[in-house]
Amino acid sequence: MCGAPTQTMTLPPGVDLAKETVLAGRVVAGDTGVGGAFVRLLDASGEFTAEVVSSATGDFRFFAGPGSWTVRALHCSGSGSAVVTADRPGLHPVDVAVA
Amino acid sequence: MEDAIGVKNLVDVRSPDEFAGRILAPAHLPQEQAQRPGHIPTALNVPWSKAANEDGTFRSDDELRALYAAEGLDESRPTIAYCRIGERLSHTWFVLHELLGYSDVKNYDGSWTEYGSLVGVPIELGDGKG
Repeated sequence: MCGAPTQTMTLPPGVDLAKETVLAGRVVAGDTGVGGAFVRLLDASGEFTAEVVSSATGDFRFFAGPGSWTVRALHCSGSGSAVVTADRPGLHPVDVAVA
Repeated sequence: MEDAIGVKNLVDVRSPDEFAGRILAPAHLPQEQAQRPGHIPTALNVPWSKAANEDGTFRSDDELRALYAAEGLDESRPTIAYCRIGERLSHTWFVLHELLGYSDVKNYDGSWTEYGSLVGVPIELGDGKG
Protein backbone atom coordinates (compact mmCIF):
# COMPACT_ATOMS: atom_id res chain seq x y z
CA MET A 1 0.00 0.00 0.00
CA CYS A 2 1.42 3.33 -1.08
CA GLY A 3 4.69 1.58 -1.92
CA ALA A 4 6.08 0.53 1.45
CA PRO A 5 9.85 0.98 1.14
CA THR A 6 12.42 -1.68 1.91
CA GLN A 7 12.86 -1.77 5.68
CA THR A 8 16.28 -0.88 7.08
CA MET A 9 17.52 0.61 10.32
CA THR A 10 19.00 3.55 8.44
CA LEU A 11 16.55 6.43 8.26
CA PRO A 12 15.95 7.95 4.82
CA PRO A 13 17.76 11.24 4.20
CA GLY A 14 15.77 14.30 5.19
CA VAL A 15 13.92 12.70 8.09
CA ASP A 16 13.86 15.24 10.91
CA LEU A 17 13.64 13.41 14.24
CA ALA A 18 12.66 16.67 15.89
CA LYS A 19 9.39 16.42 13.97
CA GLU A 20 8.92 12.76 13.11
CA THR A 21 7.84 10.14 15.64
CA VAL A 22 9.64 7.02 14.42
CA LEU A 23 8.92 3.56 15.82
CA ALA A 24 11.64 1.15 14.79
CA GLY A 25 12.90 -2.24 15.79
CA ARG A 26 13.23 -5.89 14.88
CA VAL A 27 11.01 -8.92 14.74
CA VAL A 28 12.93 -11.57 16.66
CA ALA A 29 12.69 -15.22 17.59
CA GLY A 30 15.12 -15.59 20.45
CA ASP A 31 18.14 -13.57 19.34
CA THR A 32 17.53 -14.10 15.64
CA GLY A 33 15.90 -11.52 13.40
CA VAL A 34 12.84 -12.79 11.52
CA GLY A 35 12.60 -11.59 7.93
CA GLY A 36 9.47 -11.61 5.82
CA ALA A 37 7.06 -11.07 8.72
CA PHE A 38 3.99 -8.90 8.24
CA VAL A 39 4.37 -6.11 10.77
CA ARG A 40 1.20 -4.18 11.54
CA LEU A 41 0.88 -0.92 13.40
CA LEU A 42 -2.32 -0.56 15.44
CA ASP A 43 -3.44 2.71 16.98
CA ALA A 44 -4.49 3.25 20.59
CA SER A 45 -7.95 1.85 19.82
CA GLY A 46 -6.49 -1.25 18.19
CA GLU A 47 -7.35 -0.13 14.65
CA PHE A 48 -5.05 -1.01 11.75
CA THR A 49 -2.90 1.96 10.72
CA ALA A 50 -0.17 0.55 8.47
CA GLU A 51 1.69 -2.60 7.51
CA VAL A 52 5.22 -3.32 6.31
CA VAL A 53 7.22 -6.49 5.71
CA SER A 54 10.27 -6.97 7.91
CA SER A 55 13.65 -6.97 6.16
CA ALA A 56 15.83 -10.07 5.85
CA THR A 57 17.32 -9.16 9.22
CA GLY A 58 13.90 -8.56 10.80
CA ASP A 59 13.98 -4.77 10.74
CA PHE A 60 10.88 -2.60 10.46
CA ARG A 61 10.06 1.09 10.82
CA PHE A 62 6.96 3.26 11.12
CA PHE A 63 6.44 7.00 11.04
CA ALA A 64 3.66 7.63 13.51
CA GLY A 65 2.72 10.44 15.86
CA PRO A 66 2.90 10.86 19.61
CA GLY A 67 0.65 8.32 21.34
CA SER A 68 0.36 4.70 22.34
CA TRP A 69 0.85 2.14 19.58
CA THR A 70 0.79 -1.63 19.26
CA VAL A 71 3.12 -3.36 16.83
CA ARG A 72 1.90 -6.82 15.82
CA ALA A 73 4.02 -9.23 13.81
CA LEU A 74 2.68 -12.24 11.89
CA HIS A 75 5.00 -14.87 10.46
CA CYS A 76 4.63 -18.50 9.50
CA SER A 77 6.77 -19.34 12.54
CA GLY A 78 4.48 -17.50 14.95
CA SER A 79 3.12 -14.15 16.00
CA GLY A 80 3.60 -11.60 18.73
CA SER A 81 2.97 -8.02 19.67
CA ALA A 82 4.52 -5.19 21.64
CA VAL A 83 3.20 -1.89 22.96
CA VAL A 84 5.22 1.28 22.61
CA THR A 85 4.34 4.65 24.08
CA ALA A 86 5.84 7.54 22.16
CA ASP A 87 5.33 10.67 24.22
CA ARG A 88 7.21 12.95 21.84
CA PRO A 89 8.84 13.01 18.40
CA GLY A 90 12.10 11.10 18.05
CA LEU A 91 13.24 7.53 17.61
CA HIS A 92 11.37 5.03 19.75
CA PRO A 93 12.83 1.50 19.69
CA VAL A 94 10.52 -1.50 19.91
CA ASP A 95 11.27 -5.16 19.25
CA VAL A 96 8.58 -7.77 18.71
CA ALA A 97 9.18 -11.38 19.73
CA VAL A 98 7.31 -14.01 17.75
CA ALA A 99 6.66 -17.52 19.01
CA MET B 1 -16.03 16.95 -4.49
CA GLU B 2 -17.44 19.95 -2.69
CA ASP B 3 -20.76 19.40 -4.46
CA ALA B 4 -20.89 15.87 -3.04
CA ILE B 5 -20.76 17.03 0.59
CA GLY B 6 -24.04 16.09 2.23
CA VAL B 7 -25.37 14.67 -1.05
CA LYS B 8 -23.38 11.50 -1.67
CA ASN B 9 -21.83 8.98 0.66
CA LEU B 10 -18.21 10.01 1.14
CA VAL B 11 -16.19 7.13 2.51
CA ASP B 12 -12.76 8.01 3.90
CA VAL B 13 -10.90 4.69 3.99
CA ARG B 14 -7.76 5.99 5.72
CA SER B 15 -6.81 5.06 9.28
CA PRO B 16 -8.63 6.84 12.12
CA ASP B 17 -5.55 8.91 12.98
CA GLU B 18 -5.30 10.18 9.39
CA PHE B 19 -9.05 10.92 9.31
CA ALA B 20 -8.79 12.90 12.54
CA GLY B 21 -5.73 14.80 11.33
CA ARG B 22 -3.31 13.42 13.91
CA ILE B 23 -1.08 11.97 11.19
CA LEU B 24 -0.83 12.94 7.51
CA ALA B 25 0.21 9.75 5.77
CA PRO B 26 0.06 6.01 6.30
CA ALA B 27 2.60 5.24 8.97
CA HIS B 28 5.26 3.57 6.85
CA LEU B 29 5.95 6.95 5.25
CA PRO B 30 7.48 10.13 6.70
CA GLN B 31 4.75 12.44 7.96
CA GLU B 32 5.92 15.80 6.67
CA GLN B 33 3.45 16.54 3.88
CA ALA B 34 2.26 19.62 2.07
CA GLN B 35 -1.42 19.01 2.69
CA ARG B 36 -3.56 20.19 5.53
CA PRO B 37 -4.63 17.44 7.95
CA GLY B 38 -8.23 16.33 8.38
CA HIS B 39 -11.11 15.01 6.29
CA ILE B 40 -13.95 16.13 4.02
CA PRO B 41 -17.02 17.21 6.01
CA THR B 42 -19.74 14.52 6.26
CA ALA B 43 -17.28 11.75 5.31
CA LEU B 44 -17.64 8.40 7.02
CA ASN B 45 -14.40 6.87 8.29
CA VAL B 46 -14.37 3.20 7.38
CA PRO B 47 -10.72 2.12 7.13
CA TRP B 48 -10.24 -0.19 4.16
CA SER B 49 -8.75 -2.79 6.47
CA LYS B 50 -12.07 -3.28 8.26
CA ALA B 51 -13.29 -5.12 5.17
CA ALA B 52 -10.60 -7.76 5.61
CA ASN B 53 -10.05 -10.55 8.07
CA GLU B 54 -6.67 -10.77 9.80
CA ASP B 55 -5.53 -13.40 7.31
CA GLY B 56 -6.17 -11.00 4.43
CA THR B 57 -9.39 -12.57 3.11
CA PHE B 58 -12.54 -10.50 2.64
CA ARG B 59 -15.22 -10.59 5.30
CA SER B 60 -18.53 -12.18 4.33
CA ASP B 61 -21.10 -10.17 2.35
CA ASP B 62 -23.38 -10.00 5.41
CA GLU B 63 -20.55 -8.73 7.61
CA LEU B 64 -19.55 -6.16 4.99
CA ARG B 65 -23.10 -4.87 4.52
CA ALA B 66 -23.49 -4.58 8.30
CA LEU B 67 -20.13 -2.80 8.61
CA TYR B 68 -21.00 0.00 6.18
CA ALA B 69 -24.59 0.28 7.42
CA ALA B 70 -23.36 0.68 11.00
CA GLU B 71 -21.09 3.53 9.87
CA GLY B 72 -24.01 5.29 8.21
CA LEU B 73 -23.70 4.43 4.52
CA ASP B 74 -26.99 5.21 2.76
CA GLU B 75 -27.49 2.52 0.11
CA SER B 76 -29.88 4.74 -1.85
CA ARG B 77 -27.21 7.36 -2.55
CA PRO B 78 -24.16 7.32 -4.84
CA THR B 79 -20.86 6.74 -3.07
CA ILE B 80 -17.39 8.21 -3.49
CA ALA B 81 -14.41 6.59 -1.76
CA TYR B 82 -11.16 8.40 -1.07
CA CYS B 83 -7.89 7.86 0.76
CA ARG B 84 -4.55 9.67 0.37
CA ILE B 85 -3.32 8.92 -3.16
CA GLY B 86 -5.91 6.49 -4.44
CA GLU B 87 -4.50 3.07 -3.64
CA ARG B 88 -6.32 1.98 -0.51
CA LEU B 89 -9.67 3.17 -1.86
CA SER B 90 -9.45 0.60 -4.65
CA HIS B 91 -9.87 -2.12 -2.02
CA THR B 92 -13.03 -0.46 -0.73
CA TRP B 93 -14.31 0.20 -4.27
CA PHE B 94 -13.99 -3.51 -4.99
CA VAL B 95 -15.91 -4.35 -1.83
CA LEU B 96 -18.74 -1.89 -2.49
CA HIS B 97 -19.05 -2.33 -6.25
CA GLU B 98 -18.00 -5.91 -6.93
CA LEU B 99 -18.83 -7.78 -3.72
CA LEU B 100 -21.87 -5.86 -2.46
CA GLY B 101 -23.08 -4.84 -5.91
CA TYR B 102 -23.72 -1.14 -5.33
CA SER B 103 -23.98 0.33 -8.81
CA ASP B 104 -22.84 3.94 -8.31
CA VAL B 105 -19.46 3.83 -6.56
CA LYS B 106 -16.62 6.09 -7.67
CA ASN B 107 -13.01 6.60 -6.72
CA TYR B 108 -11.79 10.11 -5.96
CA ASP B 109 -8.44 9.68 -7.64
CA GLY B 110 -6.99 12.94 -6.32
CA SER B 111 -7.96 11.90 -2.80
CA TRP B 112 -6.52 13.71 0.19
CA THR B 113 -3.34 14.75 -1.60
CA GLU B 114 -5.52 16.90 -3.87
CA TYR B 115 -8.33 17.88 -1.51
CA GLY B 116 -6.00 18.72 1.37
CA SER B 117 -4.03 21.00 -0.96
CA LEU B 118 -7.01 22.97 -2.30
CA VAL B 119 -7.56 26.56 -1.25
CA GLY B 120 -10.89 27.52 0.27
CA VAL B 121 -12.49 24.10 0.68
CA PRO B 122 -14.12 23.04 3.95
CA ILE B 123 -12.05 20.66 6.08
CA GLU B 124 -12.90 19.05 9.38
CA LEU B 125 -10.55 17.86 12.10
CA GLY B 126 -11.18 15.25 14.76
CA ASP B 127 -12.88 11.89 15.03
CA GLY B 128 -16.47 13.05 14.79
CA LYS B 129 -18.61 12.60 11.71
CA GLY B 130 -20.18 15.73 10.58
